[in-house]
Amino acid sequence: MAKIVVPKTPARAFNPNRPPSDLLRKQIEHLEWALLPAAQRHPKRLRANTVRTEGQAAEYIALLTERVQQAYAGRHGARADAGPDEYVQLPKVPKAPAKRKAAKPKAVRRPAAKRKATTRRKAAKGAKATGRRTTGRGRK
Amino acid sequence: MPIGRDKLKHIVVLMMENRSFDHLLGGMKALDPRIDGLTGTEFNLDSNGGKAFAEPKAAFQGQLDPDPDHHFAGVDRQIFDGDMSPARTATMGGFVKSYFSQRRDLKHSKKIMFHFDPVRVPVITALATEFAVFNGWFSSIPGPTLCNRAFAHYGTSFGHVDMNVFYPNTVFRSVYQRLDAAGKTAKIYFFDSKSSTMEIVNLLQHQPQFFGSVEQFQQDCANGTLPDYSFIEPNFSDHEGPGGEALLASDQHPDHDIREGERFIASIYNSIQSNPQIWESTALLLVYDEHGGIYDHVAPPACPPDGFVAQPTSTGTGKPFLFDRLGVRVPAVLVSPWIERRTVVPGVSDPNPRIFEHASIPATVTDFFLPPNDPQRDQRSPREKQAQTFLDLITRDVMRTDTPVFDLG
Repeated sequence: MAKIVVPKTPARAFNPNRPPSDLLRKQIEHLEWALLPAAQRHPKRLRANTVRTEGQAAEYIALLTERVQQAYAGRHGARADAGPDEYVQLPKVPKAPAKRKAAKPKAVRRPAAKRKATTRRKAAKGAKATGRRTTGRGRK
Repeated sequence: MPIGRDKLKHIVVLMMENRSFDHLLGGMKALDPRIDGLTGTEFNLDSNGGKAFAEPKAAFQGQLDPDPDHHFAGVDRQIFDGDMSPARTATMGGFVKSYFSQRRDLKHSKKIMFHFDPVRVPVITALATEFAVFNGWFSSIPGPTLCNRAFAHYGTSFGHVDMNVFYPNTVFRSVYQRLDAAGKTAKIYFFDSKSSTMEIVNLLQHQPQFFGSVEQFQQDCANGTLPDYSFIEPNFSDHEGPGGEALLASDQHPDHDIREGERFIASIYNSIQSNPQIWESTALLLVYDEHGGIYDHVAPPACPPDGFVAQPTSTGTGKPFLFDRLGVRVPAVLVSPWIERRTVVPGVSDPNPRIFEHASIPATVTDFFLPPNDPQRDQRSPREKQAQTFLDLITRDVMRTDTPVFDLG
């Protein structure tokens, strides 16, 4: 019996911040469609297009799935449920998780002595024009 | 009837997302010339008239961004290379031009021709080698995901060639409803509530008893409580699990990482195999819903009309579609310890071809579980009634003990 080792997927493949595919947007639309009574299925009410990231889509899909299941339970006596004419409020789209920003490298001022001659000349010229004194650091 | 088929009690279907046959299995032709894959001479002309060859340079992730066009009009262009004449023939020559139109980047557009070296996709390669690989399994419609998945559930998309399949007042019942009415058991296992079910929310809305999670599938395998028919949906998104852990999408939809899908396929296989009673009585079909806009060299054949017509406003081609042609070819592998090793099911380029499509799924399930005179058989669409079934590939009288196991680390 051959044992086939399946490599692990690298952690960097995980990207909940990528924009949701058409497929995920349609999945949301279908769940919203299932939740809303026929008379309330106006395109303006659907929120699929407000979802910005895949992670956000997943959170919203979970809320919608739960609501669809609750609605079924309601129709079958587990709880009081909205009648066909009652206005159904869609769940709020969860906020997209904050993007992790790469830490900015600290700004390091290069020693003046290592500035190029052209840079020194430009700095001196600029100071002259504005009447500002140059420190003279780095000059012999 | 072979003993293997006598032993069969469960059918499990795992449907993945958006990869063509050549993309995942085309490289296997070098290992087994009977597999209708790639020779390296296949090409498309790019937008400058240069040749873009099919090459084994596919990346696990990051290569197919933007998502290649796989709406009806885009696929029509890929198959017919923009020829709209009445006597047109399918050349499979428009993939590069179609992809170029999305980003206007000549070099990038050629990536649509890339496929995987078999060693880079060890799971599907092993399954295709060890069990039965289909040379001729096609998506049901030259179009996107949802209308194609509809064929797997209903044997038709009710005239849709797009993503707007909502199933109000359907004239045919889903395979789950048919089985239920006949006293059989069926379940759709979705990954988790954040991935949920794709498309058949009408069933979730009215018959939630048909649904479970993949975790429950694993428990059902371990406990020996698997239903007669199971349909498994992979994870459709990168999201956090209950404990904040990273759960990677495993559907293999571009631009999700192929490797996570491989691991998911292996985990489903392992779940079935780890219980000897389930392993000897289960057939697992691994199949992809559609090609996702990625190159395949085999022209989709004509098929019996569905009885529905998609209007030009839906097709986007300016012409109606009579459901008389299949979509692009997709990978499909049937797994069972009662199947001969290295079984290759002949496709359109082979003698005695056998053509399968997603309507073959409910057709096979209905054919196997329902008696010939069961009234639920009337609930099949015309396409499903004519679709090929696949359990005759289970031919052995002695169960194999040399099947592989996957080590997921």
